[in-house]
Amino acid sequence: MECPAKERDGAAVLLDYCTRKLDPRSAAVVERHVAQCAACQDCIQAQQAVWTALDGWEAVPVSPDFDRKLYRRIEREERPARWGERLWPLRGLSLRPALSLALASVVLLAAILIRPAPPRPVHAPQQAQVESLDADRLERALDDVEMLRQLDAGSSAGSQSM
Amino acid sequence: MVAVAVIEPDAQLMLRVKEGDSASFALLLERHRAPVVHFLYRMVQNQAVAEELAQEAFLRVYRARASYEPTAKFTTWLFRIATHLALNSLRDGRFQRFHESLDQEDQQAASREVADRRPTIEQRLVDRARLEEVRGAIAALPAKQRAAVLMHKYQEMEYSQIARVLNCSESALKSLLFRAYETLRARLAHMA
Repeated sequence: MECPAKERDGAAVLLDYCTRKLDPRSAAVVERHVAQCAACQDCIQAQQAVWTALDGWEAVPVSPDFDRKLYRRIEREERPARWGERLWPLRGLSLRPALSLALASVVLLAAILIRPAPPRPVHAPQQAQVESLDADRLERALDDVEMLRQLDAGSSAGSQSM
Repeated sequence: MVAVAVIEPDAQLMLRVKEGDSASFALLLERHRAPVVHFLYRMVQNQAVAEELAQEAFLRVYRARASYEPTAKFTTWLFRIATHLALNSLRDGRFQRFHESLDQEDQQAASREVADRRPTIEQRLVDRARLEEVRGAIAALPAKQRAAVLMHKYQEMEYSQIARVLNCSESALKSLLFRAYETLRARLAHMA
């Protein structure tokens, strides 16, 4: 066996040996080598000292309010979404019908506002009516004149015969 | 024959969280709260910052529930998030604002003691000096080496899992650990 203390991959083997992670067969091979290798013995001894020293460093227990703080943060994160829900209660509905309705309203309003003015009344019929009225009057006036002439003629004939 | 992928229990819980089961999230929190906080505490060496970072890690897990896929072990994912947060915190120097002395830690520890089994003053001074030395040796390691050692020693993770957390190959991780333990042996071997 190559000396594991002198190569990087071998150091991992020594590390696993110290932490008892090696399978029994590999561990036996390492033990046979270590028994006659001072460098490996020193390495293992130093590594075990490191291991023991690290074991002495206990972590501080977690604060009792850890979960409460975490859930409060989660709740705080989810709050904007709830506000959004309140602001838009009809979020489940599609916007398409509402937009179509709004668009139709705008088109209708525009049509009302921009509608062309009704055509101005043509004067010709009025003139024709006036003309027709004048013709009637003229005709009646002529009839009146004719009747007066006949009356006049009749009265003059009566006076002559007397 | 169809191969059925076995989903680990934590991943199954996370899949239930994805479906909206908050009780499963509480179970995951119960299971991993202490390991994550302890890992972060040893990384940044400050209890308040460690807990703040741990909360951020669990918050990120919760946030990512909708897109969660059990492609890796849950703890690999969780520790990847925690390590990322710790490395960022160390890089930003944020932890220095909250630097915690051993005196504070002693006060906390003393308040937790129930029986009067306290060691003598001399023994406490020796223990404190040793602990200070260990903390100093760990703190002196480059952040990535520190994370690798802490996961290897205290979380007892396999090389492959640590490599995935640190996003490196297994051989790169072994080199990282080799250098880290070499440094620690040089500093702490006399404590045997």
